[in-house]
Formats: sequence, structure tokens, C-alpha cells
Amino acid sequence: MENKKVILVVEDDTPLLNALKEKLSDAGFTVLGAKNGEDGLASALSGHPDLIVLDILMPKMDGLEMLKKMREDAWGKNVPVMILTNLSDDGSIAHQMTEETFDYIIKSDIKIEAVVEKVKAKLGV
Amino acid sequence: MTDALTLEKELKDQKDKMDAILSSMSEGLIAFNGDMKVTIMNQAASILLRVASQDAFGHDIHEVLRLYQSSTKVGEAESPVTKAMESGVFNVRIVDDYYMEDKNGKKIPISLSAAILLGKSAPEGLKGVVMFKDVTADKAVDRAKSEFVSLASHQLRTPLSAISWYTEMLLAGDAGALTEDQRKYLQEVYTGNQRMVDLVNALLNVSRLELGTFIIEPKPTDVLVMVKSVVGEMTSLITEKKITITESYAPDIPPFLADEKLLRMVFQNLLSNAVKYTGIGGRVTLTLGAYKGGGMFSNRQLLEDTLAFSVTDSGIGIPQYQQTKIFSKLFRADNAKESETEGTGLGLYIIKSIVDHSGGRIWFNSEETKGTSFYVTFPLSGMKKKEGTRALG
Repeated sequence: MENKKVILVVEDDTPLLNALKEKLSDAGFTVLGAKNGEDGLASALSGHPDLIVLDILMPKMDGLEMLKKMREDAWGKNVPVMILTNLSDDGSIAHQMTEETFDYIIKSDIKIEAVVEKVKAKLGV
Repeated sequence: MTDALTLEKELKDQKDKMDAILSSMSEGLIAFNGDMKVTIMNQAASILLRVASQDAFGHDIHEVLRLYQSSTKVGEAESPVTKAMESGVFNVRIVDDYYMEDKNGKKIPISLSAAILLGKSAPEGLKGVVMFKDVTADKAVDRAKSEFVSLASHQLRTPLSAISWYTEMLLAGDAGALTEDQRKYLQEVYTGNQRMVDLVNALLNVSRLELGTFIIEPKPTDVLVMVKSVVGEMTSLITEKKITITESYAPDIPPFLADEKLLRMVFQNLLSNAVKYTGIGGRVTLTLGAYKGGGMFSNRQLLEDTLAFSVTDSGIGIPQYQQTKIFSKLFRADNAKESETEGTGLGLYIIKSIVDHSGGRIWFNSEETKGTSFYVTFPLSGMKKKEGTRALG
């Protein structure tokens, strides 16, 4: 049995979350979903996914807050994160970009296929 | 004797009239003489500056009217009065983000107009006039409007993303094979949605430009590489329309301090317009050069070392009667609307604003049915840096 890579998608908009889940599953990944930063953080820390696709504007805890909290964790500080949002960068985000938080993408500007390609490229599959 | 009395009365009448006009004006007005000393200050100016007019008389205009652009003090060398000395008139609009400092150090947003009186009509002891207006209320409205556009645009992007992704998935056959008609119709949905995405992005850029929150961050850039890459992106459309493209680039272009994203937007917009509004089999010519020690560029004398590029097409041209409006927001020329239904009327408005804010110049020559040339120049020292909170994109 192949050791499947696990992707966590944190996205509060159900249609977008479902689309991403479907596309990434079709590409052979195991996909976990969360609809806010709180659930996302819990899911990340318990499930230790190989990569996280993270929205910013979400209820309860937003994506940047979740990212900050997760980076405090020994495991969480190294997991690759792709920010996929419709919020234009306010400059503060670019500063936080690191090798681990490797991409900042506007959802309406990218094809879903390209999201999958970027995830694959980052994980080398 | 009587004549002298009549004359005196007439003079007094004239003066009273002028005083009445000056004191009933809602704009602040300050006049100064050839030594830049204040000679007249009306009531509105006194109230705005919190300075009695007699306390201002005889003081330097720059001392009385202390200006700030955003949070930076405007030095004498670049003050509107100094600039008006060069060109006759200088206007500061709301979007220029100017403030005047009153006696208590409070900064009040203003719009302003400085004019220099030239020639024989200028009375003795009167060199120029500055008029200004408190725009606090206008600014608040403007800001609310731009913030609304920005917020609405972010909210619009989510459903647009859903339409885009699901249409893409259907087109990819993720939900089963499509008939030819189904594919065609879905492609229309996708294209239409893409237009909406472009419109939202353009509106977001406009709101950032108008809010003044966008950043200009110049870094050393290989402009030639950038230009070639933009041309590369357009190749399929250029080939499709059988357009002959002539590229004439100087070999000696030094690394240029540019905000690459913004400069790219400027060039990309001009090239895509040229291709869009040029018919099948037409011509597009691109030039890029660095000019040192003056020289001429498109009939203009260059006063400093300059980076210059031009985009010339043999397209539909801009009608003479609409040429003055071509950089206006949401404006599209009649013949442009006719030849291409797509288009937001925001592209040239955005890039003009980028060029203006970054210390460059942009202008054009055009003749209807013959073609258009756009010219852009920047000081070779680079684009002007601008602090802000949001990148355009």
C-alpha cells in the first residue's frame, strides 16, 4: 500500500472546500478539511499533514492567527503552507513568507488545476 | 478738489468691494509679493490657519502655509508655489493627499491651487496667489467609497472563484464527458466569469490607487528581460492576429530601479491595448532605450537621463475629439467600444496613476484609423519609492 501524502485544506466556503478536496483526492492525496482556523489548528496538530492549504478570512480564528499558533509548535513550525485566499496582500503577509509558507495565491486568479500542480511540485510528487 | 474726493471714494469703493469678496469666500486665499512675502490673507485662510491676517503680513509664504504630503513635510523646493513659479499654475487635488498645518500643529487635508501672475497685468507688489480648501468631508466620502469598492470586491471574489473552479472542472471532464455544445456553452461561462474577475481586480487596483494605500517598492530590475517576457505572454494572440511585431531595444540598458510588478503592468497594458485594437495583419512596434545627457524622445526634449519606451500600433486610433479623456476612469473611446466589447475603461487610468505616482511621464500621439503611439519615460535614477500598505496586483 502506497504511503499517501496528506493535505489539510482550511477553507470556510463549502463549495470551494469541496472543489479542492475533490481535485486533490483525484490527484491521489488524502485530504482533510476544516472550516475555520480553530478546527484547522486542531486538525493540523493531531493529523500532522504533509502540506496545508490555508484561507485567511475565516470565522472563529483567521488563517494568519492559526498560522502563528501552529508555527509555535515543534512539528508545526516546519510544515509547508500555501496561503490561498481572496484577500490581497496587505504587505504584512509578504514579510511572513518563509520557505515553509511558500506561496500566496489569490483564489480567483488561479485555476484549480494549477493549485494541484503547485501542491504536487512542493511535495515532489 | 472734488475730483480728488471722487477718486478717493471710488478707490475706497473698489477696496471695500474686494474686501467683501475676499471675506465672503469659502476658500482660503493668500497673496504674496516678489519677495515671497504675504500681502493679502482673507478671513477663510485666517480661520483655517488660526493666524490673524496682520500676523501673517510680511512673512514668507512658505512659513505661513506649511504643507505636508501624506506625513512628509513639503520642502520649499517642491512646494506648489515653487512649482507654480515654473509652470504658472499648480494644482493639488484630494488624491494628492496634501495637508496644511495650523498654528496649533493640527494637520488639515486640503486641495489647493497656486497661480503666478505674469506679464504686464500683474499689479505692483503682487506676484502670486494661493487658494486652498479644507477637504476633510470630501476625503471621508472618497475614502468610504473606495473602502466599499475594496470590501465588495473581496466579497465578490469568493463566488467568482467557485464559478471559475467548477466550470473548469466540468470542462476538464471531471463530471463526465461533455457534448460539443455543452463544452462551447461552458467555455462562454468561463470566459464571462474571467471578465468579471478582471473587472474586480481592476476595481481593487483603482480603490487602492485612490485610497493611496498602494506601495511602490523599487528594486534593480532588468527592464529588457521584463519587456521580453511580457511580449512572450502575448505571442499567441499576436500570432493569431497575424500582427507583425518589431522590437527595437537599445543594447546598453543598465539595471533600472523599478517596482517590477507596476512597471510590468504599465507595459503589459500598453502592449495588450496595441494588439487588441490593431486589426488582422497590422503592425506593432516596441522601443526601449536609456538616454543619457539629454536627447529627444518622441519630439520631446529630455531634460535628464531617462529610461524611455514606446508602443506604436497601426490600429484603430483614438478619435481626436476624445483624446483628452483617454486617461479618465471608466472611459472608453467610441471606436474602441465598437471594435472590442470587452474592456473596463480602467487600464489606462490605472497605469497613468502608477506612472504619475512613481515620477514618470506618459503621453501619446494618435490618429483615428491610422494608429496610436504611447510613450513612457522615467528618470534613469529609477521609479520613486512610495510607502503604503497594499501592493497592487
